[in-house]
Amino acid sequence: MTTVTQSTTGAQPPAPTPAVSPSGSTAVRLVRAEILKLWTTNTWWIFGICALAATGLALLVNGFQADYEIGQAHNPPNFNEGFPPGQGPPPEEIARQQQNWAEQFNLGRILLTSAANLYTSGQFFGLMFVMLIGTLIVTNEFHHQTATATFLTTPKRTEVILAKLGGAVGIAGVFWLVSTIISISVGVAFFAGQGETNSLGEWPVTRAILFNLLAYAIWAVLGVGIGVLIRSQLGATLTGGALYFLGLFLAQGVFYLIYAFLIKEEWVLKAMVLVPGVASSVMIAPTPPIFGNTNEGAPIYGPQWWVGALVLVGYGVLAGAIGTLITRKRDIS
Amino acid sequence: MEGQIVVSGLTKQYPKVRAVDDLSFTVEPGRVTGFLGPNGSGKTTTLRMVLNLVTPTKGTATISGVRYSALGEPPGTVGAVLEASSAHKGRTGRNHLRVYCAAAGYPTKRADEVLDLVGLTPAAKRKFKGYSLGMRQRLGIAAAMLGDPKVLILDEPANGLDPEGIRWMREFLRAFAGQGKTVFVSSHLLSEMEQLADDVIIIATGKLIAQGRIDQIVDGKSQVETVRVRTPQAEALTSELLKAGAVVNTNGNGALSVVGIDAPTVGRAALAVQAELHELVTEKPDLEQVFLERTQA
Repeated sequence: MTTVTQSTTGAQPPAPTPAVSPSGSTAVRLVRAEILKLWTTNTWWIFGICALAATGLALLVNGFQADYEIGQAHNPPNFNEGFPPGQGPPPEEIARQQQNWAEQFNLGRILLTSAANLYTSGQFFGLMFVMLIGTLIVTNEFHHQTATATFLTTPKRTEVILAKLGGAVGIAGVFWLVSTIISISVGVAFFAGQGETNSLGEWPVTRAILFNLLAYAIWAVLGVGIGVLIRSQLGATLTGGALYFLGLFLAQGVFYLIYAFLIKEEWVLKAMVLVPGVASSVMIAPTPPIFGNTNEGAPIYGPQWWVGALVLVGYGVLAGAIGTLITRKRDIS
Repeated sequence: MEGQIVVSGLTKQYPKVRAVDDLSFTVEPGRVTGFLGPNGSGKTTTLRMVLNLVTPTKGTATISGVRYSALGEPPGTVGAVLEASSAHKGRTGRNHLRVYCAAAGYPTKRADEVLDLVGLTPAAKRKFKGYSLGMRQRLGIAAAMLGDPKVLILDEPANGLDPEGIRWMREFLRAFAGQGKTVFVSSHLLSEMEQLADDVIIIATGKLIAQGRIDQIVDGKSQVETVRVRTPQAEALTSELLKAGAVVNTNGNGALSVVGIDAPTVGRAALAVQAELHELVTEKPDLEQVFLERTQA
């Protein structure tokens, strides 16, 4: 065909294009595409900077707390202090106070807990950021109407969602890795400065670090699930953020109220592990955290770490499955 | 057949509307087929069902004999341009294409090749939000061409384009069909289709109205062909034409509209009464007339 008035932008007929043939396995291709989608927009580095700031802040807070507790453990107070000689509490009362104090500021436990705390610094906000990234990976497709192109390239939607889950977990892994490297470096320096063991190699601490990775991965999966359920970009991110913050406090409040006024049983408080936010902190706690106190003042401990892990994995599987099923059925228009 | 689109009994029932109603048609390779219908007549829904984006309530659609979802390598068979604004605003045109190269397993340089093909190379590193509507449409075509497909499907590609952009699009699609490939393009702009399409499929309210070669569709209505004739001796000519069995109407500006006899017969009648002719024209019905008559019926 000939056009006399060829435009400057070039109205050229399509030249016979060279034959292109695909390479690589579908799974690898699709995950690569998902990571490329994130890499070619601002999302990753904006969240990355936020996550770094959160890790720094958390290191500061955790450092101060550890410093205080270690200091306390080395300097047991004199429970007779402030009383004129002979007028202090009876010896058995002092012995009880000393006993309580020694339990609260047990150096061995404090070193383990602060090590786990320091090495998982930034988790609270980091989990939220990877969750939001997981949500954005899905809602971006609808917000920018690229879902059409995505599903045209890959009509098998289950594969697309699996790739999105894989991409989200991969990004979560990078976030975990960077924040863990920073946290461990700072933490080791901190313990060296304190002249205490850094507890690296202790199983409860190693477990906290590794399961922190699991927490990052699962929150990314939960984020993808939220993105599938709520297609609106703004709606999904706000809901995710609100669930993460308010959900945690509100749900905990509900469990405490039930315990206080309805069912005065320990399992009610233990059931708090069903709240995803609680589950992730239970999962990485070196020893079961204290959830509350009985009327007699004895602590009520939360469930073991693996209960938290199971609950969180359950939510992850549920979110992934629901997300996949909905995406398979949905009309893209 | 390679590159043939076959739609058979396709139906989409939404809770309140039947958007597409038992629609069947065939689109042949090597030709440009226009998919015409008023806004809201179900064109987009039909195209999206063909492309497995919307699930049909009933019926099937195949491309080269296979459902879209069963194609081994979809971008290598079908390229589709459905929305002009379908890219992330903050992503460059080239990165947009690279994402789909990655998903389809094509080498990265393929993105630059298709950018070149649509003349977008100068804007390759610009973010999508800075693209004009014409550039967005070209980027859409570039994405559709990634897999060097045998079939192109476009939904209202001329929407919002300036005349230069429309001409570019027309030439591109004609050349594509000229290679023996299939072009299926929807539009509500009839004038555009008359210049572009070989075949047309006309639908209204989700139902098939007409299908066939564009000239046949137009000629199929040629019994209503009118002859316009202008003469100072209108009265004499009118009575002679009535004798010849014609129906004569005067139209506003002093010309006569003659229905029922052809132009040569009108000419002979004028000669017989020695009427002086200033104009003698056969008015062919255009696609628009056919379209309006049929879609409003």
